[in-house]
Amino acid sequence: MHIVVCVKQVHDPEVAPALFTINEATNAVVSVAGLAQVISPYDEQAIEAALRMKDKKPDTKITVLTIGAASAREVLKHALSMGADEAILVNISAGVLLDSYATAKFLHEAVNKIGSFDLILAGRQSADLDAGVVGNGLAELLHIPAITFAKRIEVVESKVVVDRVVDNGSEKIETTLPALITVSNEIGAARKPNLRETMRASRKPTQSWTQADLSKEPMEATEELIKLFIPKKEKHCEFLAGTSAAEQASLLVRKLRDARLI
Amino acid sequence: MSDTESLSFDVVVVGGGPSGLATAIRLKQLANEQSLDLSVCLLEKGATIGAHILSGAVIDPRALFELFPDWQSRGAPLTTAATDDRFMLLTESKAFRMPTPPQMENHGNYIASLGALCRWLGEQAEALGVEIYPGFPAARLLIEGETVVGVMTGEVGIGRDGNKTDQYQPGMELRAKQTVFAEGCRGSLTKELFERFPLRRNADPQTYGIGIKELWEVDNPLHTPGTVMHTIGWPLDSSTYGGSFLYHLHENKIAVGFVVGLDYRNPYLSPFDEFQRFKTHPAIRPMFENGRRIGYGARALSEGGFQSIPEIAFAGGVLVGDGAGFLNVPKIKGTHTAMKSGMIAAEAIFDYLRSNSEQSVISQYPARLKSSWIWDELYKARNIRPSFNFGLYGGLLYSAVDTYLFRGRAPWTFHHHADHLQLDPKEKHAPIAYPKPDGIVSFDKMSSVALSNTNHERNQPVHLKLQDASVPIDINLNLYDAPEQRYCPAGVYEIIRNSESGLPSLLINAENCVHCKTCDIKDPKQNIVWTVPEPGGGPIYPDM
Repeated sequence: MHIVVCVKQVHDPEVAPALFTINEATNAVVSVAGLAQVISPYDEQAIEAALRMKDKKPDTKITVLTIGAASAREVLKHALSMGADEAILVNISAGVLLDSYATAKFLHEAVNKIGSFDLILAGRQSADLDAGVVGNGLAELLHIPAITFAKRIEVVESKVVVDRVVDNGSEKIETTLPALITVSNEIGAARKPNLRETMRASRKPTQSWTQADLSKEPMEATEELIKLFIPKKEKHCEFLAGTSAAEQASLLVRKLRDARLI
Repeated sequence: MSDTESLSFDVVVVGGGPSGLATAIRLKQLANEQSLDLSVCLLEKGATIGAHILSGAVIDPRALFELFPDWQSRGAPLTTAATDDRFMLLTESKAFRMPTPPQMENHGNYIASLGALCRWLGEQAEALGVEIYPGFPAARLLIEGETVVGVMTGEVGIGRDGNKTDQYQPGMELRAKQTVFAEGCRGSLTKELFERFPLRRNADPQTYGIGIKELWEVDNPLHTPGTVMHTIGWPLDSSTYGGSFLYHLHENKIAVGFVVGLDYRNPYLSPFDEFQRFKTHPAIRPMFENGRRIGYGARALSEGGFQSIPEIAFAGGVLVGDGAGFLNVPKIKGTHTAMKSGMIAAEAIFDYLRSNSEQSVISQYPARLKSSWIWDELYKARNIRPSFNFGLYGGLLYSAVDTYLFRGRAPWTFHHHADHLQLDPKEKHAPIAYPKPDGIVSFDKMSSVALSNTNHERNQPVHLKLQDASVPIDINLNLYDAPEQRYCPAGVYEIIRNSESGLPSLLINAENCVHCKTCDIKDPKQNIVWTVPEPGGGPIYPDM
């Protein structure tokens, strides 16, 4: 079985927000110098899902695929260190902003170039833009079924059975392969890279493609990001006058009424 | 042991700081020059090279020039030349400019981020063929007979209860003909080596400092890239060794920090709060008022210098860098000596391995180190730090005499004492009333630690181990009012009281640990032992 896992490099979501600013001219998030970007955690869990299938069926091949600047090699290295077999970087220049549609189109071209596959996995959404569109978009372009928010995946011969997270529990869905599945965090923690795989990672096949390798058509965003900003939070604190609790309570009620909150 | 995976290298380097990277680079330079196959593996506990690195830093490029004569054209990130030195004595409301001591003149040096320099060194090392594995701490020594034969990496997936979780991955044995310990100040394996081989038997006790640092972005006409400022005096009392540094970098950045000698006596002293109070001084505050704090962290440093250097070579391994204690205190610099020690070790190891393959004592390393400029530099500086046992003014006066009159060659050598024995009982001091943080230039501990991006897997055994669980209350709280609450710059240690019985106990918030090692040093009974946590844990410093 051949599983392709689509991953994205993002700013580390665990890092203190104070370490980021927004460049208003380019609408880009800028981190302070020296912070490494990381693999989007949902995508890391998609790799984990693929590795669990490989644990059961060792002849499974896992290819990780990303679109990004040269720095995105680091997330491929991370995936290979977790145990993936091959990696492909579709190299675009730093600073190019792709929207969900352009990303899906890019991935579509890349998957076509990869050729055969049985399953495509991706995180339920990226940890930076949180749109959750690319997976479905890619399935649509490939004309294959998509199942989102997976918390458990089982391949049975030419079919895949997925436990899918819904509001009040989960549902079980079955479809035929090839298919695309987006993985939710309920699947469980991703394994840490181990040293043996990390040592092997540099010898695993890694390819770097550019847009010219994929398509003659320009892949431009169809959406335009107009303004990215950090909302200003304002806090006002007011102490209620009054000497007794009853007096303060009636003052509070009056204030809440004035503010039309009750 | 049979199911433990094992791999062999010619050299394993423990630690990806300036000394470890310089060792690895020099080894591969020599091997490549002579077309010899030499496998060098470097382990680093931080998630990336540089993630756990913290220093002032004004860097003397001497060793870098020797390692890469073309470092400038290779793009080493030393770009802010130090142009202006200011040495100030602070009182509560005033600042007096003092003559800059010659050791503190920084012409030719660079204000830089040591984290950025290490990342760059890491790239150079990888290009030369060093195998670098960040995120994999060396957790245990491999010793056979009386010989170090390598290290074991940390296990993953041991739960808080000590049982294996479903994430369990065993550690791996990395065997080497020589293992280079480059763990930095108070390395946990280095400490074991000190005891195992007794490497410190002919050395003074090491004495330490804790450095706490913040990185700021300012938009301020007072910001002048290249300015190096150090202060002594307020807010510390004159019997406590310490002071501040304030370095103006390019791109509107300021590195500011405070160092306190860990031989301080007052158990109520809080290095963190002294630092926060320092920034409120009328001569300092305006620099930060419109700024934004973007980094916070802390690290212990070795201040013992010459007298405290242990034996640095033993069967199967060597010590390099600040783990051995090559920092030059009056210069306030250790990067150049750390790198140089690694380079000397690399050359000695390389010469040895060319004709031998068994683990042995590389006696050429200490021999060559003693004839290098490190030894001369540290010898001349040796009496400055201990002279501050006479207090701030006695130390300053002695240092002037030692430097100008004797030029570092006074016919005597002062000795050091162990820091953990210096605390006075709480009755001898009154609690210090530190001002509340204003949220503009001074902050509380928790919002500070948040900026260090520190993270540890919660479900793991506490990596700060107590040898005796009764000591924190029976001794530390009763005699010293639990000083770990104050010397820890990350709020790891907290005395909590049972809501019903009112009985106190020590809570260890190990997730907050920024790996500074201060607790391992200052705990009065040496009851706290810092061990490496699960791989990947610790701070993520941006260019610190």
